Amino acid sequence: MEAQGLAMRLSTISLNNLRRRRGKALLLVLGLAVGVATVVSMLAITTALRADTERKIDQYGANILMVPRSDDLSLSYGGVAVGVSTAVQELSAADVASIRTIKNAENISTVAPKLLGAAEVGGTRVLLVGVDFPEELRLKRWWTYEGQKPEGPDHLILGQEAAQRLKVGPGSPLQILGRPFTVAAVLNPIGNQEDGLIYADLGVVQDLFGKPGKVSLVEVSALCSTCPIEQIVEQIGEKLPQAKVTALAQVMKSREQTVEQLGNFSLAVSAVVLLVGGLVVLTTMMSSVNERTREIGIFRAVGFRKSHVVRIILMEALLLSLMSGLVGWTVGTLGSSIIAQRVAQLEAPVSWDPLLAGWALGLALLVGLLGSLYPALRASALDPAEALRSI
Amino acid sequence: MALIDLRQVSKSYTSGGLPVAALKAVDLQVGEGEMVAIMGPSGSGKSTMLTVLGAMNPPTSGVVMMDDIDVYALSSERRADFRHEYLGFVFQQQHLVPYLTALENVMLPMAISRCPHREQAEMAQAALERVGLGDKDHRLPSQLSGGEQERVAIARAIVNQPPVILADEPTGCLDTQTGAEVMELLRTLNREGLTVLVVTHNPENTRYVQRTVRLKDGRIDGDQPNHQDEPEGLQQPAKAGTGRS
Repeated sequence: MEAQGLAMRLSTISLNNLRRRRGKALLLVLGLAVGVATVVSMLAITTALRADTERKIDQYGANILMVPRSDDLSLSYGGVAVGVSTAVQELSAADVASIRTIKNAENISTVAPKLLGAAEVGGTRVLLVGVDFPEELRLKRWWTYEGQKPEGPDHLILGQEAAQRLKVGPGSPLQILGRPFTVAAVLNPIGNQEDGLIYADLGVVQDLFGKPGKVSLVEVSALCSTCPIEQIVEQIGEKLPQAKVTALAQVMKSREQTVEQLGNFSLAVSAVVLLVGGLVVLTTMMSSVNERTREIGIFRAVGFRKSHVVRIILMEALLLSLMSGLVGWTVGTLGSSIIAQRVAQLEAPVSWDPLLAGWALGLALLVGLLGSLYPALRASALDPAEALRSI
Repeated sequence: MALIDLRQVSKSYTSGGLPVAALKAVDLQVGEGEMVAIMGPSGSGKSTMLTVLGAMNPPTSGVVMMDDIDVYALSSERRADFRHEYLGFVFQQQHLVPYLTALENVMLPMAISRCPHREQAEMAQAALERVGLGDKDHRLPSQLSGGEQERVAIARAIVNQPPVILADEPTGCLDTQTGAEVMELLRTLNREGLTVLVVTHNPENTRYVQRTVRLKDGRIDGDQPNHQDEPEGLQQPAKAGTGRS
């Protein structure tokens, strides 16, 4: 007989009830799933924003600036005052190489050494910067330019202002200190002192100024997703006692603060939405219990304990919460990836995070069960004789 | 020694701020294997009496003993266990769980018992066959007639093999013919050894019982054996208040 395969457990009652009251179950799942989806998308977006910020911090500029230790000279990057002082000290190529030997070397992504020197070109005094072009371009990813990437020692990159002053463009020849160069590229306006600089190959500039193997300053970029930047600064400082090592942390800090604030904001929004979700669960379960009053009377009459009634209702809550968690996670992740791409235009993608799925399920369970606890207790406390009489 | 022993049981409610005495110092003994009708006009206290007997409605005063157990001295959860073990309820037809099939409704009391699933299904199927519904096990209550629903309720009441069946107006919503069939079924169960108490307002139903207790205004107004059933050769009760064994 078919009956042989049948078993009656408390869960059979829960399942059958859910199957019959699909509308109510759907309402509850929707209410809770909206809450979970909000939390999931907020978390996913905050995580993506954080990753995006870290990547941008990494991209936009050096995190650490190294200049020679100097007592009597204020040396600012690109400042015209550089060449004037008689007490200019320089770092050596060996110093630059030793940066890559610190303990946290794996956090260092780019080391960009520079030699600064003033030169007169066509009657205009300009600041010539010798750079390692590949490193420099890696460091300054925000640079956009017209022309081509410099490919040989004779190629130059000019700041917008410098190019205008000297009346040259990409492809123009240019004589500096008697040596012929070709302007490979002109930077689009940046808005700081870089607009007025001429960038040339480091080796060539060292030759021109008669300072082989010397550099004026080094910009170091650290990978910031994991960077213990203070430690890196300390380690470089130990390796290079003759250099002044400064972390340019304020940029990062302010960006992180923004992300942090956004994180707090999304926490607050999530809490409110979850609270509403919890209330939807509470009212739905409450009305379900009211509808089932007589049924609960039957359960009690055939000898179900109060705890059995509680179990039936919490079992339903458990199943619905799990469904809400799954739906919420799916919708939240889909939603946040759309928001991240279309609205926030983040480069960091939103991923299907199993950890987040775990959180979503846990959260849905917590809210769903908490919201159902009172209705379940109310149901179990119904007077069976009264409950049976109700129509 | 009576199986069921009500001693000076009173129950009063407050209804609309006024106290209503539903039962007034009722004494009643029912012996094992008896089939008793509790009759009375509406408001006489017969439904209250059934719920008090059903271990679901604590009396305001007095003692309810069943099988030497002081029912209302038990904790609420232990009282649920007591119902599970001792009592089978037959209510009016609406009292099936609407989303469970006939078989599942019969199996309901077993959801909380430890017996193996295979045995559960067999016992439930057997109970359904007892009430003549062996072929309608997978129907929902809404797909059954009133009489069939009542019989499912009876199958559910007997599936656990409790010693006592309490029935509340089992024929209330049924036509005469179907009602007679249901009463006949209850009588058959009684003959197989079950103690059956039927609350009814229909005098027709007294034909099936050995004893009729009449209630009026919360007091026992009459308690007499039913002589129509003499040919069955069953013991007849003496006066109210006399214990039987």
